[in-house]
Amino acid sequence: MTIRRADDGTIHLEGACPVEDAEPLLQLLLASPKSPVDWSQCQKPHTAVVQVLMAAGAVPTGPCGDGWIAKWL
Amino acid sequence: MAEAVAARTSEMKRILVVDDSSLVRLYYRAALEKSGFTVEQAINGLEAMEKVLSEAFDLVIVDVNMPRMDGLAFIAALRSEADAHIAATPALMISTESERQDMLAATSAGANFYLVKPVSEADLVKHAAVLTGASP
Amino acid sequence: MNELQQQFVTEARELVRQATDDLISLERDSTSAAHIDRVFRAFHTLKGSAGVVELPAMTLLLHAAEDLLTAVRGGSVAANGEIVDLSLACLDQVSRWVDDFEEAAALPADAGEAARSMAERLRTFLPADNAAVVAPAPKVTAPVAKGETADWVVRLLDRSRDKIAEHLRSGTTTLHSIAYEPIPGCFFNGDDPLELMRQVPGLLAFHIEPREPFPPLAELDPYACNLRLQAIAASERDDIFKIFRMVPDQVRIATVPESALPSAPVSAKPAQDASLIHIVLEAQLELLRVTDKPEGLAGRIGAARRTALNALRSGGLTSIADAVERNDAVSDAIEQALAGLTTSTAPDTPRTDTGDRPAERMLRVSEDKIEALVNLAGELIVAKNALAHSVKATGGTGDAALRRDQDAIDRLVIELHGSILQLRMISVAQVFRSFPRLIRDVARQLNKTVNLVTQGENTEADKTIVDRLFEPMVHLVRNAVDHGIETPEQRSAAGKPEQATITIAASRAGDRFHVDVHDDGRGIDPSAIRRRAADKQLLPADELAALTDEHVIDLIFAAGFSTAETISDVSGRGIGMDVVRTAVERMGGRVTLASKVGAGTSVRLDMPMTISMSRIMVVQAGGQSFGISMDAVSETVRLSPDRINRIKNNEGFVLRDQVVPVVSLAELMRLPVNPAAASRLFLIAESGGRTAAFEIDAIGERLEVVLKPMQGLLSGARGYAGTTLLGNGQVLLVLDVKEIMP
Repeated sequence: MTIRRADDGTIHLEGACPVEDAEPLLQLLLASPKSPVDWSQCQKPHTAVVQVLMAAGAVPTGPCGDGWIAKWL
Repeated sequence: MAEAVAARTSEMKRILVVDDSSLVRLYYRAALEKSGFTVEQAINGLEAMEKVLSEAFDLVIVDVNMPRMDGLAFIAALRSEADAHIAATPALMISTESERQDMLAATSAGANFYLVKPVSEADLVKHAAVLTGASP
Repeated sequence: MNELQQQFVTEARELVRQATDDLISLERDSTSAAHIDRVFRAFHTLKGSAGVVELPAMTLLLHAAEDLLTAVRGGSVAANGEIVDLSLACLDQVSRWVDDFEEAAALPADAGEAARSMAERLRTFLPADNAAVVAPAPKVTAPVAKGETADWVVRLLDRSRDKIAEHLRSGTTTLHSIAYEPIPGCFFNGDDPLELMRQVPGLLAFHIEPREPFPPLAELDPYACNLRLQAIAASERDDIFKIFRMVPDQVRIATVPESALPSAPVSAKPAQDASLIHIVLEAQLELLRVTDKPEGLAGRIGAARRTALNALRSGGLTSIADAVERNDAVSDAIEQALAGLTTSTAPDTPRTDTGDRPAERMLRVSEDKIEALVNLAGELIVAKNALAHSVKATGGTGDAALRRDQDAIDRLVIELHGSILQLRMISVAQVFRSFPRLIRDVARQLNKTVNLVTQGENTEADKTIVDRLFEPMVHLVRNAVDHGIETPEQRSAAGKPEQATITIAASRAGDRFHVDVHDDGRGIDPSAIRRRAADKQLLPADELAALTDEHVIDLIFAAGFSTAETISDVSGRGIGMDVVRTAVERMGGRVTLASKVGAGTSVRLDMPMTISMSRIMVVQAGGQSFGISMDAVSETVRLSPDRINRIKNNEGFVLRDQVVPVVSLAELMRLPVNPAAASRLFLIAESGGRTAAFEIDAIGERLEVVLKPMQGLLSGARGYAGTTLLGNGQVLLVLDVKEIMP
């Protein structure tokens, strides 16, 4: 599992976030839609994961750990 | 062809500007009137609703954020109006938000077009012309 | 041809077929909105594809056809036979061009002219003012006007203008725009669209957005892709295409025209008026896509329509505006207006037609590759036989391991061969698909009305059989329409419905499959056949008289027999049912016919499911040709006469320590034996553990043939595996080596 919610409520995306992470991420965001999202440690998030973030209107707190994503998204 | 004549001039095009800021209304009105449009104003959605029900407009230019009835609610109410002609009044939404989501919300409410502030005089006139069918 | 072009050829052919089917359905039920929509969509997609591979002539023609279909769809033009004829002719033209394109990667020189004249013909059917709308169609002479660029490209260019300006100062690579709309199920296919984008070299701008507005989070399907990815890259088209090669249907790559690039001092000037109109129209389409909110729907549609009209009129495009005003389908009207404004180089507005596509994952493999595989498998079988021979030549000294390995290889080779042959199994649907068109054309020519019913299109058979099925079926179907089916007047006089029905059905029967062609026409009158057979002196009178009615009907298959009272244009001249019989028998099938006067005729083609091709070698002996199955032949040897020993009355020689008896094939066949020559030619054959050398005069070609069992007088003769018809019409006797072994 590379998606987790920290004690302060922040949802962390860490490491490679494969397609299977889309569902748990969605569940976390549904449970608390206003949670900050931290993807500074995230590498190569799968499109499905990015899509969930987009659909939730989530604004990650910092740049993505993945250079390409940070640059282009 | 009355239509063809109408298309040649912006004088007959009536625009309702809806914004809670008097400064913004003045700015829009000056720009539009200079180009020959006839301009009416309203300070919020409720007042705008009263105006569109009493006289026909070729375009409403609406700010998103307004007290009482905001721009989205106003456009949605306009589109649900029983009188088909009134319901079909073209609407230009103006917002400070450039996010895709805000644009989608405007479209979903029924806005025909979306501009992000600040809007230059030239841009405003150009868009008003295209949306009303006038040739500037 | 690059992959994109190949993809186009395949797709275009499919679309032409689809459009043909739909046009015929449309003609049958000219008021069906669904048929019109399907036809329109096929033409529209075809036009878009032609634009992508830059075939302006084809685009022009299809554009005109699309306009006509728009008028049909709008109800201002009726979908009558003439319109269908013309649309079909248009598809025929496209089809020929696709062939040309496949061959030469270009259309013939006269394509522009042909497109123009046909487009003019199409336009004559348009209501007068509608025709004016068509005027700004793309010019054929220019290599696709590139002045117009999709708005999103303009936006992206604008957004990344610094980077692009920098690129323009340094680089020389052409810019390409990439519009990638992954299908909703792409995640399940293992696709990661961002990952693909990541691989694009020279990325200058990138944008990702939802294709449809996202639903509330609670309703989001996280595994359904609802995204649109757009990019501008400074890289070669082929390099980009390579990255997206697995999803060619989901991506559009276009060259960014120089005119769209920011000039050196980049100005923040907003879009030009023409493109503003374009953008406004697009925005109206977006507005119309809001369908999840029932309240205000009428208002939104009305407002979108009014705004679109205003936008067009503000640009002085009154004729297009008028067309939009007349069209009740606002969305379509705006789309067409947009098509009129832009050229086909712009990516199409997304059409969610993925629903029509079968969910099954298919791999497209070219026929050549399969054929190569089949040939290799065939050679493998020969090698397997040779191996068996070599193993035996080791003397069978009980090398159990060798035997075991050889058995395993035997089994695997046979299985492999079988599996590869399975690759050649295709459904008869593609053959059946030609018949609606054929029947329609023939029936129209004869003023008959015929309804075609097809059944069992999914029945599969070997490709060779399916391919060869077409010709005999054409004869049968033409015959049915021409001779079998009465005129509408005759039919109503006979108390039958005026519209006749022809049924084409395929079905599987064990290891064979049947194709039945049935018509509910007048049936075949045995007495008419008798008269005709007597006239043609096909049989002596007494024999003819002795035949039962059933057998008499079989005479229809006799060479030179034709039931037509007059030779009509339709069934051709002198080509009759004998051709059907020959064609069917050549692939190892048979034809039977049943008919009832007044009720109709049924013809059954009983075919093998897989063609059992035999590899044979043609040999000469005693002045005649014979076929010998290659399976039995292990080698041919040429020996000087002194190598041959005579033992009593028999000849023989020693080959690799083994005494091989000699059999003269000519003698065996009771043919004159040629005088002994300087060297003698033998064919070493093996069967049932025995080896023999058949002496022959010459070796001819090696062939793959379909063996037909011996029939008639020879059916009981031993020594023959069957006969086969050679290309020149000669019947070749194929020997059964097992039977003629000494």
